[in-house]
Amino acid sequence: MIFWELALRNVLRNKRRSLSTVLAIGLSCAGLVLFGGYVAWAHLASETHAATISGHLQLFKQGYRTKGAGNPAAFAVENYEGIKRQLREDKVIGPLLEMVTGQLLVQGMISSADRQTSTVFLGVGAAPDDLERLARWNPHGLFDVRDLAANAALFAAGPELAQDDPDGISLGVGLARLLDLRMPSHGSAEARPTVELISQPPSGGMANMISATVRKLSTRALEELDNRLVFMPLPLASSLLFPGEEPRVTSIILLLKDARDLPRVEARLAELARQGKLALEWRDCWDLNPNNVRSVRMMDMFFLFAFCIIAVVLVFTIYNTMMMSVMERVREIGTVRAMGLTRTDIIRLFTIEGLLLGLAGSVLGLLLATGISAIINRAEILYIPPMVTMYAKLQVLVTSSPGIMAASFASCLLVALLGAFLPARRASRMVVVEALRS
Amino acid sequence: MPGIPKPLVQVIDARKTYVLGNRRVEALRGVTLEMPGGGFVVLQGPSGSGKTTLLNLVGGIDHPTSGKILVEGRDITAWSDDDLTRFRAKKLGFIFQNFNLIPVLSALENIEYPLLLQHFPRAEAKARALDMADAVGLAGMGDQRPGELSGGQCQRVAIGRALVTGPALVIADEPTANLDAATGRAIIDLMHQMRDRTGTTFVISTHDPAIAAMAEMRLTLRDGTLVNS
Repeated sequence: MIFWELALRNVLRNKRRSLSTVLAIGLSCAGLVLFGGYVAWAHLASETHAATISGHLQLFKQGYRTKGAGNPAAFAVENYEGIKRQLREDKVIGPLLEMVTGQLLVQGMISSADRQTSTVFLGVGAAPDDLERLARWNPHGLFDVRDLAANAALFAAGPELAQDDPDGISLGVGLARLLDLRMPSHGSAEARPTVELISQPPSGGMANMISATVRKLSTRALEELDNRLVFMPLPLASSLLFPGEEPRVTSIILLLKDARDLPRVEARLAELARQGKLALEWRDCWDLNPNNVRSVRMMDMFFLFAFCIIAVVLVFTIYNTMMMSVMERVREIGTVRAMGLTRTDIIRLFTIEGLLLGLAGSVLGLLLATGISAIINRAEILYIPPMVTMYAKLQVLVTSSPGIMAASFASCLLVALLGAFLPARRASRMVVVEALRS
Repeated sequence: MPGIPKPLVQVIDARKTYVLGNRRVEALRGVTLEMPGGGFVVLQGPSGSGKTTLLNLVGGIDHPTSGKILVEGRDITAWSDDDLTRFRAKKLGFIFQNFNLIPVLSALENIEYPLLLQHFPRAEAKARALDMADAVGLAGMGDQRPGELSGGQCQRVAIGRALVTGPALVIADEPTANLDAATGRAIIDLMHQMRDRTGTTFVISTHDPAIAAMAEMRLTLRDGTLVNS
């Protein structure tokens, strides 16, 4: 106990130097916590974004992964409704499911008879309500980008598809430009543009054609998709590829209540496949959205890099402070050694001083980070993240990430100990008579 | 032999050589002496005669190049650093020319500090420190920091700190050198009183013939050699 009291008084002996060291530790700790909070948000946002695009898992017909992309219609899953029912009623998977839905990929020609234009398209047939539910999936309660005024134009025309609009489709802005389509101005009585969709059924024979009306234009993240992508109701897509037949889907999408259940669900799917009860293959949301994985890994690397730089700077800061303290107290060190303090006691005394500086700095850092994060989260700092077209609001999850706070706190303490240890070791190795003579 | 008390300190042919660059300096050249327990011993001699070196060897904070140092019959020259440290904590007290008090501790805490290092309970350490502060004439000044005390008061704190653990031997290296003559005399008087009260042996180095005259045993060093005893 005497060491803690003595160390505290020694820390307070040179208040200005200790204060500047505590500030340096505090700002570094706050920086780590804030950056960590941003990375934590990026992880959750990335997971949520991946799930809103593809669900947590997609089930495909066997062989789709290797050959299906060239002709998805040929790999459509039959008995879609039966498989949905099987999954919902499964004793393991069922309780973990938030939603099961399907999507059908269609390729073909899209043309406008009115404008005398045509081009190729890539269509996604989806259940309108399920598509909207997927888009609004937000299990972590992150800020909803739909609430941002900067994104208002993107959502002003309503959802991509609507249950009560069976022939209404949505196109990329680029595709509409290629087809020279003009949308009626909002509130006007002008009719929506009509387009014709032509595709070759996988069963062969004549190409099939259906008509649809364009209900919405949306900017897609990639130019390639903007020029080709069409969202359409699942029954409409199915009627284009499989006229007169029961609906089929290219993939069955599973949205889980909790992404952490993904391994359990995959294990159960593997078990069902082994038992011959499910002849499908599957891919998880990370496999389907590799850019999301790469983005968060890159953020992790940035964080690690920043952490290393901060740690090195902090070690030198604390080393410098403690070394100055040691050099100022050489005779005192000699005196207490003569009085009976062992070398270990000297190391203990100086490392406790470093620890106290680290402790004060880390506590200050957590307080600063909490305050600054509240300001950042309240302020509307907007940017467009990679691979999306809408604005996101900068968020740092500090108070909801106790792990990051604890890790940053512990790291700063550890760094303070490391920075104090070398001067402490040097102090302990002083020759008593030389120290007394100084 | 029964009936003859053993000397507290025995120095047997102690030599100490320092190497300063290419130069070898013989600080002690074969000193042999004995100091009785409970005595008031003064080491005198000009600067560079080896007084401080001899005190450092007897105090276990330096090792002789050759020879032996025995305290209470035990040869301390071959002890490890940790053993010597424990020995110093229990058996020795130090008084320095510059007082060497710990500036962040009050006068009372400076006196209490060696007791806490020996794991005395807080209450007992404080009671003993208060008694010692009274004994060395610091009653009512215990809360003051060294920076707020005069040189004489600081040296009183240092004497209290050196004696509070009840050591067998107190080593004082020129304890009056930074004090005026009257204060220096008062400090030596205090040491005498404390020796009489505790039975602790004091070994003091000094240049001051007046202080040397107050000793019960005088040792004179010159060029690292004991010239009279």
